[in-house]
Amino acid sequence: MPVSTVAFRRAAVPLTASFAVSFLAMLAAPANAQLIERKDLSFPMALTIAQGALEDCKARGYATSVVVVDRDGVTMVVLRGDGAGPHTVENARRKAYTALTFKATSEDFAKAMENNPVRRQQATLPSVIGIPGGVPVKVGNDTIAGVGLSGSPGVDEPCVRAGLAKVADQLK
Amino acid sequence: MSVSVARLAAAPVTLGLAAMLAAPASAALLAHKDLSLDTALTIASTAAATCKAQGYRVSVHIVGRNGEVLVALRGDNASPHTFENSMRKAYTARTFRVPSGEIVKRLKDNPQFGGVFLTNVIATEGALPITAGDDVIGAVGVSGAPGGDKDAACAKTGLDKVADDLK
Repeated sequence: MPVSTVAFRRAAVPLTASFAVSFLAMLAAPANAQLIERKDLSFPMALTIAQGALEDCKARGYATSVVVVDRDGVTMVVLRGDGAGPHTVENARRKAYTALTFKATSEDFAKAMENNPVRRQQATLPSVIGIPGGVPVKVGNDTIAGVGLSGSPGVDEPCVRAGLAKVADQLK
Repeated sequence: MSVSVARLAAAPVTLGLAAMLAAPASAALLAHKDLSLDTALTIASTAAATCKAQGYRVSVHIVGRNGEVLVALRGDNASPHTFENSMRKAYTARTFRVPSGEIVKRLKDNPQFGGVFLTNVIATEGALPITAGDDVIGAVGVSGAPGGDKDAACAKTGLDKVADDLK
């Protein structure tokens, strides 16, 4: 056996050991690599919010549409109110999406657009819109959904909040 | 004198205008009935509840006379495609005025049936037209049950629930 090979083998033992140790370290999952546990709106809750919002606006004399989107901005519930304008469904969905993704009301987003150039750029993203009437749904600090309503002359957000009030006890 | 000349010249114009304005008998306003949100939501939530009771995770759409979405419900844990699929089934049933399962047969009988290439049309069972008398005023589509026939059966329970209102 050539000397060089022996030398290599001797050296290889600690090398292999250190590789094995570091490989095991890679495999050992860090503490934060567990599955994410989180809560989401159930369908009955989403429907209750939507109906509550629509009925509140209807009681005020306004024909509106309402949309609830989930954590990923995906539409959960759509209700087109009797006599609501054609644009109201799309508008409601975009308000809901905006509130969900920016974790703030779409009115806050609209205000931020006035003096924040970044917000104005973000308003060009698909489905984002700076019009009041979208409200985030939160459990603690976690934004789990968004609700948007369109069709009233300026009370879209109060109508949404009336819907959210119906499930306030369950949003914990 | 100039006034009378003007009047003479204006007379045929006035006559022509009056003829244009006189509406033919067929130009009266269309009178028709449409789904209310209450009725649409009852159909949708009943269909969803029926499927859920059978252990199926479905989504449901109701479209109106123009194919517009009146109600959309995404069931808990329903697969992602079910939402769009239920809408397209409903649109298909509305626009062809037949259960969407009928379009499956039409396509089988005529593989060249071009209707299926239109946006939102899909040859899949699971949607039923909503009628008031002979008038198709919308459709209900369900997706997520293991089989379009089961989707359609859930849709049917929704229609049965409001049968008295659809007159």
